[in-house]
Amino acid sequence: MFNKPLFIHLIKTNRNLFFLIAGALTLLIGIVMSIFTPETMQEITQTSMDAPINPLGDISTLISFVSNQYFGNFALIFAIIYSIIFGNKLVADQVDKGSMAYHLSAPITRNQYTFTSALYLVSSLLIMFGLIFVTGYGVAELVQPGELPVKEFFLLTAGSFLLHLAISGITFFASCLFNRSSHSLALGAGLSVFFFAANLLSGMSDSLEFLKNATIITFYDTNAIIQNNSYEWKLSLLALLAVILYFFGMLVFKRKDLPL
Amino acid sequence: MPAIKIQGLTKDYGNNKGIFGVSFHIEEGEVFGFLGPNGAGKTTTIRHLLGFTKPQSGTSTILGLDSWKQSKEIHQHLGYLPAEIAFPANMTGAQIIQHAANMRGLKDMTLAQELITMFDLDPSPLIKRMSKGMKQKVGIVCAFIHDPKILILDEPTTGLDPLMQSVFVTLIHREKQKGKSILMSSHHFEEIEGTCDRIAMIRQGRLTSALNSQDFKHFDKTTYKITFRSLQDFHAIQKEEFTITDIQSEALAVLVEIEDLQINELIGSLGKKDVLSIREMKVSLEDSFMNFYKQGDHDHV
Repeated sequence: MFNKPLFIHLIKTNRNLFFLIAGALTLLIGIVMSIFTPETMQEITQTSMDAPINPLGDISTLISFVSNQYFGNFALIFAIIYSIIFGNKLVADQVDKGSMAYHLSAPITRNQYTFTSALYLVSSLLIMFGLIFVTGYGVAELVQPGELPVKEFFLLTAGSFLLHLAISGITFFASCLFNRSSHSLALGAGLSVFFFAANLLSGMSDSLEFLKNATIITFYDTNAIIQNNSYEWKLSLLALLAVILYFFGMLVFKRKDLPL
Repeated sequence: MPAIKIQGLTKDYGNNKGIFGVSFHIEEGEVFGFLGPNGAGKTTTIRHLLGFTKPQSGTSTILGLDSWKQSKEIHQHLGYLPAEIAFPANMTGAQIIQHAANMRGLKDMTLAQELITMFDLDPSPLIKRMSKGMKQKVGIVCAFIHDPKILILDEPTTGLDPLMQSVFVTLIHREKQKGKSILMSSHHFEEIEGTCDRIAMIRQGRLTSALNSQDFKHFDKTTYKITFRSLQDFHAIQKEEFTITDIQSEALAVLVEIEDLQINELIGSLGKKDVLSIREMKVSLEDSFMNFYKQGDHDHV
């Protein structure tokens, strides 16, 4: 199933965008961990006391700031963009432009192509979140030793990885399903952005809270993770969703006619 | 075992688009020309051969392997040059050629180098900065890089300048001598005329005729356009026993089609007349194609 020359090719041709997004996220976690020391947190809490609803959510401790602001916002946006671009680029965009003919003119099965591409997408996300964890942990230990609960931070990072694995599953499946970039993006990007918007709106007011039921981001329950409160099945669902979507993406691509 | 065999291949896209019951085969060492107007089904047929499309009915095999089910094995022996050539973005020509070699586990780049020199290609620029002709050359190198037994070339000379087109024809001759089986679609008549052993024409998804090279290379009839100075001679020739295919009264010209054996008779007859000019009308493959293509237009009306 795995094709090494293709994997190397994918690493080489996509490294710029990977380093751009992974670099931005790593930099951000570094900044968060170095700036939000206990003193700063206290100041922020005091100044925002008067606000009726804090749009940032609970940010009274370092770990809640990391969960609500970093993983619930920055990382969410950047990683969704990453999944949208790469999900589309790996399959549908190549079919649309015709360069898939170049790939499939080699002695390679379609499954080999999609499996290697999927593996690239998954492992690039894994490396991205690995970098986030190592950098965040390293900087925190350097600047404010002992302030970061490592287990919770690790679970938050791993959970976020699983969430984005599921989102990349959606964009990858859409990419395998359609022969045109525009259609693939309509489904892949459309659904991902909808999930993001629903998640954002559900936190804004009580009357919009029902939107929580309309987004898979709900399964990445940061409060449950921090409070160690039955988060496992939710994260397992995300992982399962990812496996199903990647699997069916490959299946659909193997069986369909390609306009090449 | 034929190199390529298509039997009753059908793919109906609706609206009378697609291919319907296409059958032909290409023997080992044969160069096969595939012709037809745009949208006739050439590329659809080729897509089936490459395993990009699943046949609705009928079969398509290359070297006895099923095109849809065994495309990986087929591609080991197949070189393909698509009509609309496209490569992954952000790569140089050299990287694209190298990657094509890597995907085939090919270490020996002497053939690639030879082709690059042959086509006078500079593969160093980024592919998106390249002109159509340069991209085409990169595509040619990628298709021939592994010295494949079978070649499928969809309009291979589009974008190439006349000099490179003749280099390409030389390449086809060389590959043919090596015993390669080649399927080539083209609109360039000279290219087909000069290289192909057999040709097939497709129109509106149906194979209409297949010709052997003898049929289109050795015409034993020739047409001459003869213009006379006087009306008298112009009328006189029409009474003689030549096959007149066209009469142009204003120009005092006739088109005479004769068997090559009749040529002395014609010269004898013309010797007694006041002839202004005599020109051989080239009846080439091109004319039969033109007729063939036009027929297609009428069918649409």
